[in-house]
Amino acid sequence: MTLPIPRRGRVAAVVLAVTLSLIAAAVAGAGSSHRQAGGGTATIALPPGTTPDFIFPIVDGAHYSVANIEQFQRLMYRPLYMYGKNGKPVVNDAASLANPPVFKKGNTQVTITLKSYNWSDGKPVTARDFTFLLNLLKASKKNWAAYLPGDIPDNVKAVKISNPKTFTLILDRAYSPIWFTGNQLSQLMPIPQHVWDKKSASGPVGNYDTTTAGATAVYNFLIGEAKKPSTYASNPLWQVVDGPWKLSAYRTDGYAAFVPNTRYSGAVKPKLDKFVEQPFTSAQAELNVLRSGGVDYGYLPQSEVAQAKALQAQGYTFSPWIDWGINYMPFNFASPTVGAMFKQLYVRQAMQMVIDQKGYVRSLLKGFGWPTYGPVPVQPSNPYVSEFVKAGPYDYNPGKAASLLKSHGWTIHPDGASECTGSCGPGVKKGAKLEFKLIYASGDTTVSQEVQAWKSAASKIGVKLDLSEAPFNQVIAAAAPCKSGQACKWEIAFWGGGWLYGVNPIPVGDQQFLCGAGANFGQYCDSTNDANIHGVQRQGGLGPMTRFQNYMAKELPVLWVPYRPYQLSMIKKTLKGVHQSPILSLTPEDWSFSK
Amino acid sequence: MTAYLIRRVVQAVIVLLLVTVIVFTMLHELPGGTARAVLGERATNDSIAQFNAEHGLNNPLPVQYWDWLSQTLQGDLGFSYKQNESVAQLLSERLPKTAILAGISVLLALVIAIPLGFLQALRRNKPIDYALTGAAFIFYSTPAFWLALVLITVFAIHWHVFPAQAPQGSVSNILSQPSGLVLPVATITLVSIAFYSRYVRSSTLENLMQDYVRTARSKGASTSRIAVRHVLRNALVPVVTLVGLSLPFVFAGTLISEQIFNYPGMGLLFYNAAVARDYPVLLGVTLVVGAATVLGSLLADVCYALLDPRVRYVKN
Repeated sequence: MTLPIPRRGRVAAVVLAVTLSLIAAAVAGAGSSHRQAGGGTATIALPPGTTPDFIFPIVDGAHYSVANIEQFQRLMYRPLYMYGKNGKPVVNDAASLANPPVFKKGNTQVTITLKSYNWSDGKPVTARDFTFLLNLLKASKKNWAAYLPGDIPDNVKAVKISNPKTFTLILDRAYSPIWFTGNQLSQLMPIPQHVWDKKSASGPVGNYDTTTAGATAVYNFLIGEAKKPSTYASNPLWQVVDGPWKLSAYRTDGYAAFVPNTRYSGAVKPKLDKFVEQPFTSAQAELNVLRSGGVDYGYLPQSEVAQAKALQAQGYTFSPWIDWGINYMPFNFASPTVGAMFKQLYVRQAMQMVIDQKGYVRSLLKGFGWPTYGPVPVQPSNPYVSEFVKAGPYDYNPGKAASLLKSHGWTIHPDGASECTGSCGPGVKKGAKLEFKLIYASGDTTVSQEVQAWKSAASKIGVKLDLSEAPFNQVIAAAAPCKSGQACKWEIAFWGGGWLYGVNPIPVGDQQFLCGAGANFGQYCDSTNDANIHGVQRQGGLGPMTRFQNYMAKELPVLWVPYRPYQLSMIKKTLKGVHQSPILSLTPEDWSFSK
Repeated sequence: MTAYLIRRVVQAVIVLLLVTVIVFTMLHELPGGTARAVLGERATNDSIAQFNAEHGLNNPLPVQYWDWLSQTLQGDLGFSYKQNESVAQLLSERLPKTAILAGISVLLALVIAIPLGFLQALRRNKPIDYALTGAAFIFYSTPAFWLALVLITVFAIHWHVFPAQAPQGSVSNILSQPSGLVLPVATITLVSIAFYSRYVRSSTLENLMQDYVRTARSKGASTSRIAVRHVLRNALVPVVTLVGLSLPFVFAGTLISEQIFNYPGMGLLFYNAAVARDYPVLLGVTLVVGAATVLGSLLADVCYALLDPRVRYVKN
């Protein structure tokens, strides 16, 4: 039975009317726009999952990131020495808080003279602000992500203050000025002792930091305040800055808005009225807003690089952001099953010679990338990389790789696993097969394509790779240094991101390649390498750096793979003065809108 | 009814506890350590050991669960390992956002789907029924992310009618920019209309075959009275159940829309916490969604009893 529709027109009409009026109301307020008034507001899009969430300059491991340090804290608190100038990983004198350091007494002492900077409340930045920081670091070093035993603050025996702007660090030994300035002093951001040296919000400011117990109490108070991110823009503690920007608004989704610090003492003053860091939940969401013109400084996902031309026609400049890093896959030298094979240099060489880095850059990265040949990046142009590393000692050469294996006792089985039938090296038994497990990070098409390409090339010389995919966090958790008594299952790992020399811009490899280093996942250990690394840290000039990187490039402690830009930036043509620092720091005080 | 409600609340608490035990256990069985996932590839062995000690991750699982439970019962949902914020604060920020987006979408879907489904049933096998059925299947089978991208491309990028992203910031900011909600709401609504209208259609058809309709007609009731006073009310009973079970979706089910429209809500909170092994956040969201599920089911049952006088919740 069917019934005639009662009042059939009315229901539909009501629904239609309601819907139309909603749309009409919405259209009236539709579209996004920012009107440039005076200096204007520049909005930069943050990559997904990389939002600032920690304001206190003594950062713990969970928040030790470019987003927090280079792109948030350093806008407000200047380090003694800021790196990244004209696209090179060198000191930016104009942005640094101090004049160039003076090393003396055989590089066992360094004198630092602060520039005439003031805090935003008018008080001068002095040596006391530096010693305040150092005292807090001493009390809390185990919580400081940048701490390595023997490094800052351990290597500072004493501080001698000559005048409020000048102090000398007495070091525990001689250090390379290049290394000490880049990897030690550049991490230090003096903090306002006259405001922060207190144990509670309502308590008075004092010199509590001069004792260990007092410094611990002050640190605990400041960390407690730092754990209230919803108060970052309103808490008076964080309003006293010496950098060019002050935080005017902050949301816990990572949105941060800055206004100029009108009392900034640096040479380059902000020209914009406001600078905004806009978080995005996904690269696709950012791309949609970019295409609608909603950000001034955005990025293209690598898979969408074909849209660059269309966006250029819309008024954007395409500018890949070349950062300062290397990419690699560690071997697990401690693996009970395959570690002995990895310890043979010729095996590592053969595996490296079937990675067609130039081919991957050309076809998989669409030209947006460059090979890694050693621990010092070949891009961007820099004073550290040696000619030997730039040339790349191991070109793609499967024929040579196969010959190398054969000459060391292997019978090659293409598309299978080559077998040791001769004398293959210490610890490698007859019958051993060149078959390895490779765990790699999922969710990145390029990573996936690279491992597939490598697997295919490696199979031609009988190196069989068993691939397994896992989320990034699982890969780095799995690729941990093996401990005795625990299962040690991983063999080769590839998390895709490599290593960024950001906060430590001098590429010395002490965290990844020193025996026992925390990020030396594969437990590579070589006394010559250790001596070379210590040479970089302790001897002057660039000679030790050359020695270290040439040795590493030859020895292959890891498999080198191509590195790609931090992002493929799209910058509005009207936004001038944008210099993309390889250290990934932001200097929006250089930016302005053209008319 | 009171006794029934009390029994259901007690059952709900037990179910919630069981859910937390299962989720807690499963989380800790995931491969890879939490410490390294949170601290990243630069973490040293010392920092990993310190992290594990600080967060009690070296304790046996039952001890860890008891610590979490006793803390939760005192109103402390813990502190996120990764986001530098208390779990309670995160939930209080994200939950209203998801509730606004999903709530408006579900409401709008119902407002449209109920008359549409009813119309389709009354005009069964007529051209309008076929047309609406076809449209329903198309939208129901369209992936939400694809629909979202099409809407953005057409309405935001080409025509500049609506923004490409949802409104940002606090709830008051969001509500003051309704234009930004149109596309994300449309994405969810269009898929949901198909879902609800099909249920209303089949439920209406079932009721139209009932004897009471023939009886009402023979007693002289008008067509409109039969349709609205009798058939529609009975046809809505299964829809009430569906709406009740939609409550978890309203609390945490809009991940796709959140990702595409840059709208950080509960869906993304859970997803990012899962990737980062951020246990306190995962457990907090599980608690909220679990509570929403049992509450939704309870509300559906209560409404069912109110709508259908034949249903009475009494013992035996």
